[in-house]
Amino acid sequence: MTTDRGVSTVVGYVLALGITTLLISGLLIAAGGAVDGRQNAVSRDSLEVVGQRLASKLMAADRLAETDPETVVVDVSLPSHIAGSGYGVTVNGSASELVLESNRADATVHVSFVTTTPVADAEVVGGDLRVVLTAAGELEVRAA
Amino acid sequence: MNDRGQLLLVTGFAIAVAIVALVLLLNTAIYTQNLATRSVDTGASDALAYRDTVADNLWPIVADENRKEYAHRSDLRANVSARIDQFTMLSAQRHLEGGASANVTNRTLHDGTRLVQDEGSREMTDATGSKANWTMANGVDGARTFDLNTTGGLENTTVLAADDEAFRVNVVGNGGSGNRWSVYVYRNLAGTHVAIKNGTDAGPTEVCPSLLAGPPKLNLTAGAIDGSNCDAIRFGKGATPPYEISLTYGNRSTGTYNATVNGTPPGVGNFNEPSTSPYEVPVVYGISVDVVYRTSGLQYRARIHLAPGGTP
Repeated sequence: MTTDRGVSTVVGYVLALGITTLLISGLLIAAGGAVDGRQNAVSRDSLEVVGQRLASKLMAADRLAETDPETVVVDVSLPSHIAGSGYGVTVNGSASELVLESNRADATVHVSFVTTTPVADAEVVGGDLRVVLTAAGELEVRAA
Repeated sequence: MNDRGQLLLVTGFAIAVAIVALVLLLNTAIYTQNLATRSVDTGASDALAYRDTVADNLWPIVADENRKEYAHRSDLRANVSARIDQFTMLSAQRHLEGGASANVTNRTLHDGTRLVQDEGSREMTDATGSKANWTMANGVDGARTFDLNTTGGLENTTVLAADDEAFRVNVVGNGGSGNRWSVYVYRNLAGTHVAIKNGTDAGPTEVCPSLLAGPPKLNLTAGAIDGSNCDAIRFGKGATPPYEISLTYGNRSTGTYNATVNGTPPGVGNFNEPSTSPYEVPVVYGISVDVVYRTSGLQYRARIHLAPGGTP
């Protein structure tokens, strides 16, 4: 009787600890997944908005460039981080497309634009940018 | 037993971190919403509006000064400049109030001359009345208007003899050494005739005979006789600028003319001062300016050329 008395206590303790650990692990994994999922979704939405803003400035610069000017410089103020992560902007002039890609989250966004003036290919880091009409008559996206 | 809470503590801490992360993401989402609904106006519309304001309103100011028939070019240029300054100041005001800098700079006035004879009974000789063959202008890159209204006194001749006998206006290319374009006006028993010698032709050819009834009114820049279309008489075909414009046998026609050319008469003596026929009036043929528009997020500079009918 005396040798068996502690057994149920130990078993009960181990069982309780195991079940608790299991539940907590599930909770943490679920929470981590939810955070990841939200981060990707928020990054995508933000990149979409940022891309649209850049495209609209690019098209505004195009309207100015159509008047055969000597100088066109349009500043584009964009956030340098989105959902805690930096991002890159790739300008694909021949495809009339901006590709914005988050450095950390799994989010890549394609935004198309329409211009009359040719647009130079470029790769820049997201943040404050500048659309410039070059001497070659192309619109170029540069870091500000 | 005292260590039993560690698991819960660590878990609680991890969940707290996850919640904070979610809150930060929510913050990003809210910021994105804010960014998405913010205006994307760069000021490009205002810059273009300012450019259009300058392009539409600057030339009427210059044209108004041109109409005043100044005797001296320096007076004309000074007054044109003063009025452009005033226009620049007024047109920029609205943009300055909105925090933008709008300006018209780097202006270039292109000299031109209006050549006029408005006495219909006068022969088309020079100011002294003694020269029938004389140069009206040289170094001319173009003519905006060239109305020639013959009223009488035309020589009785034929198209074959026109070169030696008829009144004509000559436009000689390459500054006087190139191909010659000429328009002849003369008459014979059949009536009045207009003939043209293009730069590359050997001699004159009669044109648009059906339009002629008496001494004709020629519009050499529009290509019209008495208001009816006659493309053949369009100014300077076959001659390369700069032109020398001259009259030959000016004593064999009376009439008036009014020509605005992008050049100047060769010197004193050929024309009087306004308004004794024939007279020359200095005019601004065209104007080029830089339109500059700046805001905190935009820089725009464009050179525009203003002249009725195109580039000065």
